[in-house]
Amino acid sequence: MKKFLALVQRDLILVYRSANDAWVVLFFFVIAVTLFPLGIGPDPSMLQQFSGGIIWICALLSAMLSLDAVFQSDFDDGSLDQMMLTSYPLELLVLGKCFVHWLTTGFPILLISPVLATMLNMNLDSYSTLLITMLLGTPTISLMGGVGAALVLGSRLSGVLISLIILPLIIPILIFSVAAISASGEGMEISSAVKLLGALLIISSVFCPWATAATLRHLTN
Amino acid sequence: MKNLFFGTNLIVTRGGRCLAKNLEFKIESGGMLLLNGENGSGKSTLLRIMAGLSKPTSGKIYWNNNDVHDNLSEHFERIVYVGHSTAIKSNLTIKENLKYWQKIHLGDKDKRGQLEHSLEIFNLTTSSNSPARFLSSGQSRKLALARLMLKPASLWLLDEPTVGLDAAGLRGLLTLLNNHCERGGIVVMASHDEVRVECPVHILKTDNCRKG
Repeated sequence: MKKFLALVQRDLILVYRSANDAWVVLFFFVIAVTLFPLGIGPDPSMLQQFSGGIIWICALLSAMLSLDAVFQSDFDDGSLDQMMLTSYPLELLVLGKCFVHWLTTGFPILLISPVLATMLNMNLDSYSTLLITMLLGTPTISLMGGVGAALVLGSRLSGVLISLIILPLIIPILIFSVAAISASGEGMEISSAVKLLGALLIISSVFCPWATAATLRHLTN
Repeated sequence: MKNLFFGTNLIVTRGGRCLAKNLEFKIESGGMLLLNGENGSGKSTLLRIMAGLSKPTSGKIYWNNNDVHDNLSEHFERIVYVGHSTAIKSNLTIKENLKYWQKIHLGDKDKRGQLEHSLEIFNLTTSSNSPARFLSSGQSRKLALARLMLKPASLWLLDEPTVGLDAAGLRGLLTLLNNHCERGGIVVMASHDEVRVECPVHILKTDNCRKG
């Protein structure tokens, strides 16, 4: 546990000291969402209908921006080798890196999303559902993204490549989240979609670190 | 306790190309193995294999008669590997770099004295609170080597540790190597420079693929 915390602490310090990267993701999210009212017109009822989908699609795209960097600098400077040369399970260190990615990307997006929801005239009953789906969905993106980040290590255009690999895989998150948000707007039951999001989070937190670690081991071999 | 580190019948390949074959080595506690060969003759790859980061194409490496690739996490406990890449985070200070490394490899055992001492040996004390991005390449090498003192490992694997070192750095490294040998540690080192240590040195030539 001490080693896990040491890694998380180091990565948080590194993000804090190069804070630009984290801000860029957040600003991209805000700007992307802002473009929609300009693009599809300011009709409040139409915006309300699309609000959940707009926010979630922009959140997915923003999360992709910083995903390819999760392991890149550690790979470049040899830290990844040193991370493997410990008796501590690489899977847990990977989990730590995904957690930091979520904390610096998914979590800020989650925090700002209600503000953007107001701008899109989201139904007041849907706010809590938006936050719940964000809370369950964004960590899953970071976990699945870890696998993609390991796969594209060392390749050119890794940023584009990772989007091509990961975006199709996280379609279920988008479908269930948007379904839950629009259902809550119409006063319908949302528990099944939320449960499925929870299940996705649990499954990916078990399997993704394992797959990521296996990929990284193969890569350094 | 006497340790024995040996490899038999090793073949080193990279990207499907043979770099060295029929490699045999045997080092006892207190000994040093110097890898000797031209650039691109498989020295770094062999060191990565010894560290357990890569698997040999064929052949085996043993620590006291146990194949190291059978129980890697036990092997990782006993080695320090300093490769070409220095694994330094440029946005952390020198001290933070070492502390992180200490924590990740040793958990809670924060031997403060050791950390300060390692900085002293490599002349990094005065700048220890400045970010590592201000270090020159020689100083980065020193910071990477300072890790050798922070983990009580019995096997050191060093990939060209002398590159970029000044006279004082070289002296520091020599002191460390001699102390390590005296304590019964084993060193495997790839280097093109002459390193005068006081322990028994074996030499392994690594460029025998091309010579047929």
